[in-house]
Amino acid sequence: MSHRETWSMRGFSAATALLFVAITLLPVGYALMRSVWGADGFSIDAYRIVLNEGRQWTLLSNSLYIAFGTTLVATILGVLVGFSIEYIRVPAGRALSYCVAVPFLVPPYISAVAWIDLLGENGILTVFLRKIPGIGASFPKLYSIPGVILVLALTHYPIIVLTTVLAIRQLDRRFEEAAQLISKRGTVLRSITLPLLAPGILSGALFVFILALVSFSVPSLLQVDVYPVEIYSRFSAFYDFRGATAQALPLVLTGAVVLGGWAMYVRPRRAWLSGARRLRTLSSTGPAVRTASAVCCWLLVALSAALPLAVLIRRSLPLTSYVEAWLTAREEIATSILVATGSATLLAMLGFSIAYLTRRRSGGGGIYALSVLPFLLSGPVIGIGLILLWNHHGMRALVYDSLIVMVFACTGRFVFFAHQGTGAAMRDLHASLEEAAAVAGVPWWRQVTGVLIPILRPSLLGVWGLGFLFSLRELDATVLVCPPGSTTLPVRLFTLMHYGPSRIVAALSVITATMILFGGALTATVYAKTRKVLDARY
Amino acid sequence: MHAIELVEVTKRFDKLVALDKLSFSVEQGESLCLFGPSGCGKTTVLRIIAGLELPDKGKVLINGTLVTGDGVYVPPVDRKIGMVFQDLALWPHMRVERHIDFVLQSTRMSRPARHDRVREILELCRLTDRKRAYPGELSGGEQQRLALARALAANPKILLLDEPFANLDAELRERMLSEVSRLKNELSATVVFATHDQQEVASMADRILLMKEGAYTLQAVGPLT
Amino acid sequence: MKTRSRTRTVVGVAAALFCLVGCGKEPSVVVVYTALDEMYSRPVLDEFENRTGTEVRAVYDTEAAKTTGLVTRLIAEQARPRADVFWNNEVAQTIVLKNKGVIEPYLSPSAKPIPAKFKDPEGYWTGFAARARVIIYNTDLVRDPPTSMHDFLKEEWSGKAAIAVPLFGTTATHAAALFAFWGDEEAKDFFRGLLENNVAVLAGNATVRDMVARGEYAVGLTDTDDANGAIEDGLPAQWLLPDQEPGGLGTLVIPNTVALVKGGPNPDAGKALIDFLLSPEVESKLARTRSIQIPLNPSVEAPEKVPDLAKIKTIDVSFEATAAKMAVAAEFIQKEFLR
Repeated sequence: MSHRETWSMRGFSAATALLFVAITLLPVGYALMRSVWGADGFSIDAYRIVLNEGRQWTLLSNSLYIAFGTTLVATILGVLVGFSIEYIRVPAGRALSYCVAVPFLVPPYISAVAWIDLLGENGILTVFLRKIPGIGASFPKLYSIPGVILVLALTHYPIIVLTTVLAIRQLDRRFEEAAQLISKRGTVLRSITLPLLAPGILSGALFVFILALVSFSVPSLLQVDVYPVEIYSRFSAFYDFRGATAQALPLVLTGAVVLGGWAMYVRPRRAWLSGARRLRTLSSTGPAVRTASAVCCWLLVALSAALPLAVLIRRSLPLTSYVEAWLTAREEIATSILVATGSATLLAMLGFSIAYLTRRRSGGGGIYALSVLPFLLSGPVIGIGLILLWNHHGMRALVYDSLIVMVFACTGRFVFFAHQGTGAAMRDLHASLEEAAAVAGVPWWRQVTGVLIPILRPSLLGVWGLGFLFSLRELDATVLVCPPGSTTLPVRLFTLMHYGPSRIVAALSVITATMILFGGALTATVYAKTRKVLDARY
Repeated sequence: MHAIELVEVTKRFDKLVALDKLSFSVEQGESLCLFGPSGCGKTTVLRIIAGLELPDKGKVLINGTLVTGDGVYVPPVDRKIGMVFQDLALWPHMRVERHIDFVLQSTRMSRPARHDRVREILELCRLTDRKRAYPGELSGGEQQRLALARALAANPKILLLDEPFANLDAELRERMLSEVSRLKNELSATVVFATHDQQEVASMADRILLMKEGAYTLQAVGPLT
Repeated sequence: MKTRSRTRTVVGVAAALFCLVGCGKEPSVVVVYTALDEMYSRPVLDEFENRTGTEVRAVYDTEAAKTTGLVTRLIAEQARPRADVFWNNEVAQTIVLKNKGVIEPYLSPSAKPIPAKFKDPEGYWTGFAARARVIIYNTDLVRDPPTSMHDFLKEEWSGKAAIAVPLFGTTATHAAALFAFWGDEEAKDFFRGLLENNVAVLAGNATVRDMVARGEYAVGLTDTDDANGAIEDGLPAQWLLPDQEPGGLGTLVIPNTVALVKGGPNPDAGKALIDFLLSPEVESKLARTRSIQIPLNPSVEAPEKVPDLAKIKTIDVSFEATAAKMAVAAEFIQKEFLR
């Protein structure tokens, strides 16, 4: 690299590193520091005390049980729907995929409320189902671990639909065709197709597992004791910050172990799905199978998307509720959109930069591991870390006293996913595209702006869009750092959920869900359009 | 002064020795062919000359200047080499004329000069009436010509071609071969190309390096009959 | 040519950042962290803003944080306090803040008419607009409601009773009061008895009210403000004050408390706000809302449905003693009571 180039690259690396550390690592660091360093100096007593209690491990096993159960059910549902859309090619596939996104886009605490209305003790469905002879009074309760698994699975399976569809798209059909010359359809599916798709599908399953593990709102609404609830109680009951942070550790470690195991599984298998030709498939399944699949999928959509929404809308009537809800929450909506935009942009930029700088080096895995920490660490712990980091006089006050601290909170939480998303797309790009530019005399930063970013644009937009949606519904980390006078929509919603009249809550939930759905549709459309240009390639 | 000189270049990939104390030189305006079966190291040699790979041992000199070795490394960006990759590596989001223009933007040419140069190169490679097309819309031969055009755009003195005509049918290949020969003569460029096809060797090579397992076993001069 | 566009970008980004940060401050501001439901506190704060022209920047509590959020935040912000006033909807956590040195004493003139029992003797906090702990029952399912806390241990309410998690909010304070009044052992036995009688532990007082009103449970323990909500919504629920007979335990009356944050950015505005909040006008206003907050100032007249403070038999224990028992009670609850 020429002299000037080296310095510009160094500057870029330094800036990226600084941002990454400040946004992702420092809040965690401050929180951890505070937990072992206090007025009485250094001490890990809190950890020892908390971790010796038997109850913690019972709760942890509850959380793990829920996480595994949810992942299992969500994977089965997601793979079936994903196959129907992309492999079997049921009619109206695109419409189906949009509808499938709905249960995920609606925040889980909203869905939980809808499900309570449906399947609670006096829920609409419960009453109806109890009348059926044979089921009777022994209909299981929603307020139980299986109930939590049901709600979480039905709200998270769309993630797996997405990864399944993407994996199928990237699978080179020739792998299957080669096998089809020798084996029957079922064998091909079992021995070739599924194993090759596994890494892609499992990346979605992993995400679902983590989300279910750290889930707080749904279990708490369904009154199931899980680990994250404990952490909250450490704060409110004891103001025992050290204990609460200590308590947060096992969850982080579990998540880290799972992620580590997954990384080890995926690494040797990565090449299977990257850069393969996307050949158009002629659907080779018969009409009977296609119809059956279509029916099943739409039933699932009705169950997971239409039903909860219908319940919410019913609860929200009369229509004046919407006007009231809008008037009440206008400012919060604006604040949320502003914060979400800021953090989505920062996420895309930071995720891209980190992925770019680590793409050819071995440090990537370590960075990824570090960036997952803010996501696994419980909301209040991160919130405290943020306060300790940014609430100081001087430059830092600029951050803390404004919405910037909220942007940082959301960005820190989701950096790992932005990094992962852009990294995967970057891996797919053949190195020769950049090399050709290098040899032709194009400097590194123009390679980035002229070659990399335009080609990666769909993925970057996707990362932006998802970052926007995640930030829009983020609650845990931002609740402690809202600057006085501004709140976000989820915080408001959650408050109203327990204090205000139900119909306003329902109306606001519907408004929130609609906004998110609209954002999702917009992202998907833009993504598809930009993809078209690039799909016309060899 | 040789145009290109390799001195005892060794390259290992894990346990595999790709190049083993390889030394040779290429004269100005000469056309050298690296001939051998797949996996013998031809591509690696080209990549090392271009600066895309670093050898484990050995030196590379271009026009008498040390570019690789003895702690020195000049990056590809500064070596003023044109290269056609094995898989062409055309940028799917850029039109044909943009490919050329993009490369020229990194030189100090003014906009009108660039404009002229783009037109010139497109004419040279006979892509003028496809200048608004995307790579995905081009035929195999047109894609090859675009890759070539891009490599020639900044007027390099050294041209590296990696299996450039592998995927073309006989007739197209004939045409491309004469194309490259003509260009080489017009631009008096030094060409190093890697191939396993005898006909390419026959029509283009001034000298041949027969490569096998990382070293060359025979150096023939002149076209094979 | 490239430098110009780069400068433009920098200026643009700086401008965007500036907008996020906020352009300039209002002449007069007061920052209040309030735990009282936004539905009720916001109109009061708006009124203050209209009257004095001081901009009120409020941080409201959320169920998500289980009233933890504000107190945790105040403690974490001690190095550089951002709040001027802490308006709590109960008293125990205010005392925690006093013990941690987060608040400072302020004797407001408006505090004079408030009875001594509901004030901190050193002036660190003052109570107003209270709620009472009550038994709520479903009128469709229950003819003969329980009238005492001890009734919750009886066979007839096995599996049909619900309380909120006694680790947060007023339920936690209630638990601590029982520990303080009965002594640790008897209190623990009581809760163990509740456990044996399959009492349901729900997310919060509002949830208890909702479940009882819906018929999922027959009886429950909640606050007057939540209970009244069910009545105003026309749901089949009623409430009563438990243990009111002579010699009875009495029930807990929990006031809102207001305190001045030590080292806050706008102390004068903070004091003005406290004076306003403690005024009879505010208590009257709060009494007339859906939350029927009980006025502590004897001169305030309240509507019929608001219980009269003078007529409520309260548990004979001070808030200080209650606060002292919070940790012990919480420890027990977490270890033994919550499965």
